[in-house]
Amino acid sequence: MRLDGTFVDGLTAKKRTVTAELAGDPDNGVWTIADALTRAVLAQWPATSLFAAAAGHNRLVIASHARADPQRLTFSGPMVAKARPLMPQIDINRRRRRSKTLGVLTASTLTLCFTLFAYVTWFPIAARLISERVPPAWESQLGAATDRQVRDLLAGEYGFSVCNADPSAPANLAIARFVGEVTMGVKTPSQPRVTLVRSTLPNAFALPGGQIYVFSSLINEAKTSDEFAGVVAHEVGHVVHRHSLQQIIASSGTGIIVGFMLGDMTGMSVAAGLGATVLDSRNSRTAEHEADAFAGAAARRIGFDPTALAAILDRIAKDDELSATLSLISSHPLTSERRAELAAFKSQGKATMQAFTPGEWQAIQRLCGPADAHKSSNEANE
Amino acid sequence: MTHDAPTLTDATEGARDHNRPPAAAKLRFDANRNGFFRLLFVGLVAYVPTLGLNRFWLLTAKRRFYWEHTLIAGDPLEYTGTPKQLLIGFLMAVLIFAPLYLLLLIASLNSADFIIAGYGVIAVLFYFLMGYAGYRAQRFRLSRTLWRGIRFQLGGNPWAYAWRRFLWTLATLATAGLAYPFQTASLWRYRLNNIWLGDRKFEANPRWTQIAGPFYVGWALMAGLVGYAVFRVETAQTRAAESGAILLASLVALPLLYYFYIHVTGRSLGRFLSTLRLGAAQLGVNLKVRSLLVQHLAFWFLFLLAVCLFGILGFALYGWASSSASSQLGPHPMGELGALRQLGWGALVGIAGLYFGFIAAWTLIANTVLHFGLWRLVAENAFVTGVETLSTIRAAGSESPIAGEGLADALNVGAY
Repeated sequence: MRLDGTFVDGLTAKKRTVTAELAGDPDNGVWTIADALTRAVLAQWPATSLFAAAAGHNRLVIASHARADPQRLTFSGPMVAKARPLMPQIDINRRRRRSKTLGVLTASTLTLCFTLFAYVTWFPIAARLISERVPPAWESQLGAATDRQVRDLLAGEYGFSVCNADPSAPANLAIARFVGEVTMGVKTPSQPRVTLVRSTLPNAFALPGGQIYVFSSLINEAKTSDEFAGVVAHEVGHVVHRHSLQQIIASSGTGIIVGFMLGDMTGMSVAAGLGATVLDSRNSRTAEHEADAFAGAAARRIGFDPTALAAILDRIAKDDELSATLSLISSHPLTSERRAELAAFKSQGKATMQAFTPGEWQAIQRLCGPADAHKSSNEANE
Repeated sequence: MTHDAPTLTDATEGARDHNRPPAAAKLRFDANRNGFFRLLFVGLVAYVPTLGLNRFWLLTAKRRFYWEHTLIAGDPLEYTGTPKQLLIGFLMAVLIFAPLYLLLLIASLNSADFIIAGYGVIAVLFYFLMGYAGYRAQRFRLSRTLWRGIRFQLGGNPWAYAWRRFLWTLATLATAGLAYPFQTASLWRYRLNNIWLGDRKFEANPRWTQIAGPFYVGWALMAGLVGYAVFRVETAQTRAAESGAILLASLVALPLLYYFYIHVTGRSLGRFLSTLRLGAAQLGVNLKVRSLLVQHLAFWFLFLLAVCLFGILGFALYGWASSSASSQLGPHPMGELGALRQLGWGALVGIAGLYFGFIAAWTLIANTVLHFGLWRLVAENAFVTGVETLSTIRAAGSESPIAGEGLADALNVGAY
């Protein structure tokens, strides 16, 4: 079985006309390649080592695994059809290589899937661990950056103006006293500071570094001072446990990946979205549970009604229009578990006093100016 | 006992051909565009189950396809790179870039101003690195290209090339573009003169004069247009007249700019490559700019079709999503993007699907019309004289390190 072709030996670019002769059977014989003119033997390839370096309609280029240098044997035209059946190893080796490729591809994909899955399940935990190691100074800086963005974001549509920055105003003194009581004996990485803000958004949230904003619309929703106290204690709980920082770390991770896929390879779009993250992300269940537990414990210690928080959440949840916007309920979802937990506080002791004196509560309610100026629309309908 | 009778297109050497005068051997590209399309299509579909990892396999298959269907003096090129090499190169690049990105993130969190200045710095840095990455990627590809069993090489220094490209770009910007012919000739000269086939080095002499004609004509026209627009804006009485002048100028300028871009790049490709010599062998390329223009027109036609199609699909999706989610969506301070986060899974999957589907369609069209078209245009209009002198080339060199290609991939400067 003798075939005619051309041959290059991988050492020079000289192309020779050769004959290729098979000794033995196609499956495990030996191919001898000899110069067509001088009959000098140029190469000897075991049939099992053959593979196709290129295969076209009129062209078949054979090489051998047995050789490190790129020797090539080329058949053209009608010779291709003659050569193929004599070299079954080509197809076998190609199938082998294909299944190996499939194996590598599958393994890589599974690894990628696993990595993504691990990321989704464990990154929140990692975020928590990371947040515990962030120095408070960094957290404050982050808080300052977030603060600027939050103000910008809200100023337009919902309004954002501090009601009264004077720390010696009676309302502010009262709130500061209350926060002091709540944090007494509690280790907190940053000092919580509560600022009342005039806005149509019935919400309250904590920024990294301890700044807490409570909006005037929320105060208008509160029927008793204990409800307000419950919200403040809850937010202080977020500050103590650094939930805001965790949220930012967690969403930064996703943000970087999404940004990477969409073309922003530097992740800086994440930095520009801090405010949005804080305003928009739902707190995790653990975070809500911890903040609730903190508020409940503070209520029992100080002696005000721990279930007031549930009451105001319930009230806000009932109002359809409010729940559609960025109200307290959307960032602090009132799941049935949470409702049950908050209700459980009721049985654990009676309230002995109010968090704020009637005078203090009146001052707080009045701090942000007349109620009509920023009433939420449902009040207008009542 | 002979193979195909020697024709003008297969000028092979051999003892019998001693007395033949050197003939011009045409290059050939015997690929089938449909086959190429199928290869691409299947490869892109496979992105979905492999979460995009198939990218490396598809790229390798593409290169093998192009290389093995390109025949020089009857012998095809061969690509010996493997997908695994690309994958490893990519991972190496990620390892280098990840800490860099982390630093950037931390820095930008600490200062809002850094974000804006940062993007500027990043852009400049990336532009510089693209030169480096592109050179290394070409070295990767060349060192994995065989012809008649002999390996190509790219010598030179990637950093030197990156600096050369960067400084020339500054010069071009400083001269409002006038220096461009000098820039492109200089860069081509550096690259071409550093390519080796085995132990023989290529020589080339690209000159700025080869593209000066169409470039400066185009430049003058653009300058004239800009001047005219500025004049009209200055003398305009109303806002509307001002914007009208700008709009008119842009409408004329953009197609003109595009035309001259094609003309100049096509001509530079053809003319510069035609100065390429390998010992006594000489390359010639007759690239017709007209053919190139036709390809680009075909591309835009198909591309706009795709835009219409996906636009319609997008509207349909939006209509379905907003109607099903209208009760949930309300006014949102973060606008559409924020509202999107409230949408259900179905809508999000739909959006992602449309987005990637559009990118895939765009890739398919660009590859089959423009990339394939250009390759074929060059290959089918190229010829080599003195091919018989090539048979004395000896093999030299080995495959270059993997990292270069990965960097190019990470910076998105991939070419063929």
